[in-house]
Amino acid sequence: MAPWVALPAATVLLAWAYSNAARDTGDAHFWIFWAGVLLFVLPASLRMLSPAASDGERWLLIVALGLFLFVPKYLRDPTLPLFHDELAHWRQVEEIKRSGTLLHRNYTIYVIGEFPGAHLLTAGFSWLTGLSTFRAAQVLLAVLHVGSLIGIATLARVALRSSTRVGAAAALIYALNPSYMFFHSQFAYESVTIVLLIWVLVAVAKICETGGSARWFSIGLLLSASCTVTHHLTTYVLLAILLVSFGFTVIQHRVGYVTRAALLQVAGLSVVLGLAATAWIVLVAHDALSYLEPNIVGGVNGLTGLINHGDDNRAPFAGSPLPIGERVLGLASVPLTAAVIVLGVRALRQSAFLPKAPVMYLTSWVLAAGYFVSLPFLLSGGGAESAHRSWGYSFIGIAVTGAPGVVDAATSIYERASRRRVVMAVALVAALVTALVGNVANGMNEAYRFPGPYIWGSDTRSLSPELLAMTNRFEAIYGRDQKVVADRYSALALASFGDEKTASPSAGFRLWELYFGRGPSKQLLSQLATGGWRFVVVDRRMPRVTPLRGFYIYNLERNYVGDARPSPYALRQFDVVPWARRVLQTTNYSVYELNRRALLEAAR
Amino acid sequence: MTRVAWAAAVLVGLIVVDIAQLVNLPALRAALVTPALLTLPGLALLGAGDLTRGAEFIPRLALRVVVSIAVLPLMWLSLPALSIAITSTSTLVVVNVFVVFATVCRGAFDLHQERRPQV
Repeated sequence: MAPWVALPAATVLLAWAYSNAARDTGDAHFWIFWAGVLLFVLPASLRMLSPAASDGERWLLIVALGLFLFVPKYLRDPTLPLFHDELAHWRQVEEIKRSGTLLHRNYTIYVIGEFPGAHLLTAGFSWLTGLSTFRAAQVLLAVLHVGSLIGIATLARVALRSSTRVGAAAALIYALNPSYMFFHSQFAYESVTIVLLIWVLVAVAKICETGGSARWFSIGLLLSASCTVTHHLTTYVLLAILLVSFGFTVIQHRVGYVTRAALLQVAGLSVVLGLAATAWIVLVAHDALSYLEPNIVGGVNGLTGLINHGDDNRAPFAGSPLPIGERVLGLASVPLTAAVIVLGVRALRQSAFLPKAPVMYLTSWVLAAGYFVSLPFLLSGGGAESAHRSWGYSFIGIAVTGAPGVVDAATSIYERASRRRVVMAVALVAALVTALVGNVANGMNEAYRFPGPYIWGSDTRSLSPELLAMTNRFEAIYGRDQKVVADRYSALALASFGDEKTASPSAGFRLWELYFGRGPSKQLLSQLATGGWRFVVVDRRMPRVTPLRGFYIYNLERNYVGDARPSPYALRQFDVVPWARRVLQTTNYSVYELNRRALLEAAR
Repeated sequence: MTRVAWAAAVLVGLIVVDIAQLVNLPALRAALVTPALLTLPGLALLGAGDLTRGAEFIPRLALRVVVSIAVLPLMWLSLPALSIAITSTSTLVVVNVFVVFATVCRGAFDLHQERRPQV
């Protein structure tokens, strides 16, 4: 009864934490937040792991846990999209609803137009339910959030040929992963595909368990196809996982543990997904690989630089405003994750290894290893983002491999003599608190998690009423689809809420020159003129502020300007040069209209 | 659940989705359409034979919801492929066509499996 009684009180505490964060600048909201989260998660976890709970109750608790851990993200932005990726995806759905067509270029994340699955789902759902785009997305996300936990529980049960109790333990471990509470609750394509990926793995586990199943093979194909049109990275990760599974299936087929039919079906899934992903790249998603390449190369280069020269390094939580307790638990959660896996292997003993272990269990090993491989990338500026994004996948493996150990530890609480029992109960609760608090701290920064005072360069807290008012006014005067150059944070609002075409800086289009040093080069002026760029937005605060995310215009701008800030000289030039004319002014923002002819003359 | 009851439940659900489009109360419309839309395609494709078995109800329902979520964008993706604009009407028509077609196919398949001589 305890978790069900605690659920309403825990939800009220979460609401209070968010209300407090919006009004108060102290740390009180962190304490209220964790009091609320732990008030439900601790009794729910202990009940899920208790041998006294029925299977039906365990499933209900998994559903409740999934919904409850969606509440913080819901309270963060209940009415409008706020996270960087959400703004881009929301705009994409609005484009589909407005035009009735697909594959629109997105000016915040250019590649997402080529993967319309999530946008199409949300647009259709919004139309048929009558809900607004963002409300429809929230309903879908809440359902998917629960669907991922049920999928993990099912996967662990089938992969380990075990009970619902072990499945519940796996769901609990997965619910504690750094991406679960916020990242996979945001409206983005990976929040949809992570659930599809988990259920494809369930299909593979079922195929191997049943010696081949046409039903599960068809389900696997269907979910894989949907994944292909929805998200690039998940599709390629899924393909890699299927290939690893196929490798283990081949080995197990040779020793007689897997049937030929199952082997052929796992091979078939891999081949079909590989062909579908390739066809989608060739026919539709021409930008997918060029979008992923800088992240992968940047991560590898960053790590190589770190090893060879010690450059591009960043300390964990450097400059983070998170309370010291969260940071300490964030660091402690890494060895704890390793300990959970060790406990899991210990619980299974010989059956944890080849040839006896089931295919999906062995595959989970490889996935779990991915978590530890990703950790060094956190220390490099270029690789940290990729490392963060990998955890949603690697924790699938950690959940499956660690679940038997967690169940063993929980069992000892109910079986051993009273003194030992108390010690084990305290240890389990301490581990749950460490994993939950630490992983959330590792997964998302404060500005994304909580409302609060304005922070320049933070995405979420940069979306000020002034910026939104400027965006609305600009759109009212000049209309949509205007080609605008702006800093990253103003561009977010202009591209999503204003529906303008904002410029994407790159090594070949050095827009930061407009704001840094002595001003733009002749090459940039020529590019602005020939590209038809019509407006420049200038945030007058730029020379005085340090962006929370570490950059003003372009995430790799430090490679070109070092630690410099935008210069007052460069910003003043807009009022004196012949190629720019101020057309809009608010307290902090100036909007200039560019004169194409004057730009070309200045570029000569 | 018998085959007839399952087919009837799916088709009644579909009618609810269709009629709800005429409802002017946003909350009621969302409450009627959301559960139906998130389960009908999965129910039509997978049948409902094993849904009623006790404690396994939740994972089996979850599978149908996930299949629905996977299949909805795929069926709507067929619209631009057929040069049809994606609108509220066309998405509703596609859902109707798909669910009815999948229900008939699934029913025929199950019937065929039942009548196949047991070896």
